[in-house]
Order: sequence, then structure tokens, then C-alpha cells
Amino acid sequence: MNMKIKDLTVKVKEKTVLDNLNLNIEEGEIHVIMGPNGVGKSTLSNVIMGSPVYEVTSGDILVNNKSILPLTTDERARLGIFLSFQNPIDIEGVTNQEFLKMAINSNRETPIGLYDFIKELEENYKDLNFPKEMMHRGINQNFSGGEKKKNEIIQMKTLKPSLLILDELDSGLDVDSLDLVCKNVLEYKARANCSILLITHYNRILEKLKPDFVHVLKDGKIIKTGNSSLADLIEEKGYKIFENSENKQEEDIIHE
Amino acid sequence: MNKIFVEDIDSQKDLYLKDDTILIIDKSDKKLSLKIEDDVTVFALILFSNINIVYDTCYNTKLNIFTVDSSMSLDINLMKDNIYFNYFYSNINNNDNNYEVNINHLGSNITSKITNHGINTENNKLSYTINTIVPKDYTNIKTSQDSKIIVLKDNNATIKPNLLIDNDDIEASHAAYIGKFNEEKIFYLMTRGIDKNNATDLLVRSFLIGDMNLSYEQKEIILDNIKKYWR
Repeated sequence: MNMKIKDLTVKVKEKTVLDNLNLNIEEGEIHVIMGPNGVGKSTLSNVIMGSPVYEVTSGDILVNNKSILPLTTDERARLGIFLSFQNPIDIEGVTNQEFLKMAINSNRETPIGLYDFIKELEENYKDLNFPKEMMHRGINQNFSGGEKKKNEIIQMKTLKPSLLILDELDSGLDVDSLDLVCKNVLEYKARANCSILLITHYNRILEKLKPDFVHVLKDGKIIKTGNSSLADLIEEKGYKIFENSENKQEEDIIHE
Repeated sequence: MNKIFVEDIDSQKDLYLKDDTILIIDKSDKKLSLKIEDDVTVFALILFSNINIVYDTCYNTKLNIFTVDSSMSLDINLMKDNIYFNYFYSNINNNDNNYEVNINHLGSNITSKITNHGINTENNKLSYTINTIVPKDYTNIKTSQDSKIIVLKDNNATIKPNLLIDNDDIEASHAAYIGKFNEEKIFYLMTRGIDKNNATDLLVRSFLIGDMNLSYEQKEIILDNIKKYWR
């Protein structure tokens, strides 16, 4: 699945939060968005998923060369876009199992067989070192921050999307859990050849996922694009090196 | 587990419940007096009724009530010292209804947890009055009441959470919420491919079942009635 974001401008309550943003993600590529707090990174992921909080005032988001802006959030998800939330919310009383079964069946003509569903779910729980009993708990109910992130990846593996948006997947995860989660993401990517848009503050996840492109977001637009050496530069010098940067988009690629 | 249909009982007499019981009340306007023994869980399904219940209870009992389009006046009498009591009430309303409950603490060292969840599907009136009552003779009581009404259309609901406490040595709390489902929850479910109607259905079911400790049969009874009278 490829995604092209063209001249996207987004407002929330009359305030511009994304400003003429452009981004091309080809099938199988891993792109990373970095930037200081509050520059619009999570906004971008929510806008791609069609959050009703935001208003797209101009530009477009094309998936496989077709605009997804007219689609509702659930239609975008059924198209194969998956957002792993920065702060997954908990929903008491709706069990992980019944919710995932409904989610799978929403994209099938005939409902999935119970045996096949449970078998696959148990495998996915095992892959993330999660007790399978957790599938009977409410969604993220009483989960720690790390458990919530693992639960997002279990959902991803079960729903089999083609474009992953991983919003600060690394926050809340200890070193071992980050290893495990990244291993699962990479295995899934190798199998599904999915594209990935990763949002992060830290280099350590990039050492594991090895992105093709790193973008720096500031004031709602991409001001710098490069490869992983750009992330190293940010790690070393911080975002202050971009204080006087203009919007240079993809032509301004930093090479190692 | 016993199953009792209220139309089969004489409402002039007290009904003693010694074992876990499912009570089914359908289109009734009776007055009931229930005496509950230790360790007994009662689940009541109340459909299209206008009912008055007096509920006298002892140690370690649970009461779960699910109603559809019903008005109810309920007196819960916690009759002894050292009682732990857990009560969960939920209802679906398509018409005007009133629900009033008095939780009378008639002993010391009592812990009571009261939860009330309602769904108002239309622009009808729904009124909750929740009275937690502690007379001055009784001490060391911990009591909480938590009431929520989700309005799916215009708001025409009221909650009166009253703490009528006549003693200093009491921990009492109350919470009340009237409003819509959290949009973030609906958005989260929709990002997994579930459409808005089904996402709302999931939230309705989870809200009405809440943390009731139900058997499979009791849960199925509620789910069947949600399907029948919700959509």
C-alpha cells in the first residue's frame, strides 16, 4: 500500500495544525516523523485515520492513488490502515476477544470460525508474551503502559493491515519489551510487505526498525528529510539546529 | 439457581431467598418484600413494570437489577453489622421513567457499593434519585454511589445523588454523570474497522453489563433484552 499526502492543511478550532504538508510513502517503506512536542506529529496520524476533531481545509491524502478523505474512520481501517495509538484508551466491559472478533468480521463476507479465531489470537498473545487470559479482559483495562502497547501490536497482527502508523510505539516500553515489539513488527512487515509511518522522539527504536526516511516536523510542516543519520544528528544536537529552517521537504536529503 | 416469575407469587407475603435466584418481573405493578439470606446473589430482570420492592439483606450478598422501560422504587435495608453489599443497577429507557432507591444502613461496620447505569435512547424523561441513608446510631460505614446516564439523543435526564448522613464517623462518596459516550472510545473502536453503529452497540452492552458478576445465563438474558429493545 502506498500513501501520498499532498499539500495537506488541517485546522482545529480555527488554528492551523498542519500546514501544506507533503509526504510520499511507497509500499514496503519505513518513514519516521520526528519533532519536538506539540508540532503536529500525533495530529498527522489522527488526521490520516479521519478523526472528527480535525478539519482538512485543503490538500489530499491518497492511498493507492485514491483519496481517502471522503471515507469514514472505519472505512479507512478496513482499507488496511492501522493506527497504534500513543495512549491507547481503555474500554471497560468490552473484552479484547469480542472486540477483535467484531473488527475482523467487519471486513469479511462470512464471519470467522471461532476455532480459527481463537487459535490465531492465542498465537499472537504468545508472540507478545501476553497471558492468553488477557483476551477476556476489557480493552486495555488495568493494563500497564507497556501492556497497552503490546496489545496494540496483537491487534495489528490479528487485523493484518497494509499500512501501519505507529505513534510513539516506544513510549512506556522497557528495553526487553521494545525488542519484542520491534521483532513482531519486523516479522509482520517481512510477511505482509506493509508500509510503516513511525512517530518517535528517540533513536533507540530506529536502531531496530531501520527506517528508509527520517522527516523532521515543525510548525505543522516537514522542514527536513534524510536518512537515519538525520536522527543521529538530532540525538546529538537537538531540534535547535532547525530553528531557522524553511520548508525544504524531500529535496533536502541529508546523506551519510 | 432458582428462577422465580413474580406473577406466580403472592405479593402480600414476604419472599425468602435462601439460594442464588433469578427474579423475572414482567408488566407488573406489584409491591414485593424480599428477605435475603447470607451469601445469596439475586439477579432481577424487570420489563415494562412499575414496581415497588423492599429488600432486606444480610452478610455478603449481591444484587444485580436490569430493567427495560420500567419505573421502580426500591428500599434496600442493610439489616446487620459487618455487612458487605454490592449493588449494580442498569436500564434501557425508551419512555419516561423514574427510579428511586433508598440504601438504609441499619448496622455498623457496613461497606456498600452502589452503581446505577442507564441508557436513554430517545428524548424521554429519565430520573434517578439515589438516597444513601445513615442514621446516627450506626458507625464506621463506608459507602459509595456512582450513577451515570448516557443520553443517545437530547438530554432529558436527571440524577439526584443524596447522602443523608447523620454521623461523623462515615466515609461516603457520590458521583453522577449525564452525557454522551466518550467520542475517543468510539473513534478507537472505529480505527479497528468497526462502524459507528456497532461501536455504539459494543459500548451500550459494556455499559449496561458493567462489572456485574453474572453467570453465563444471566449475561445472555441481558444481551437478549438489549438486542430486543435497543436495536
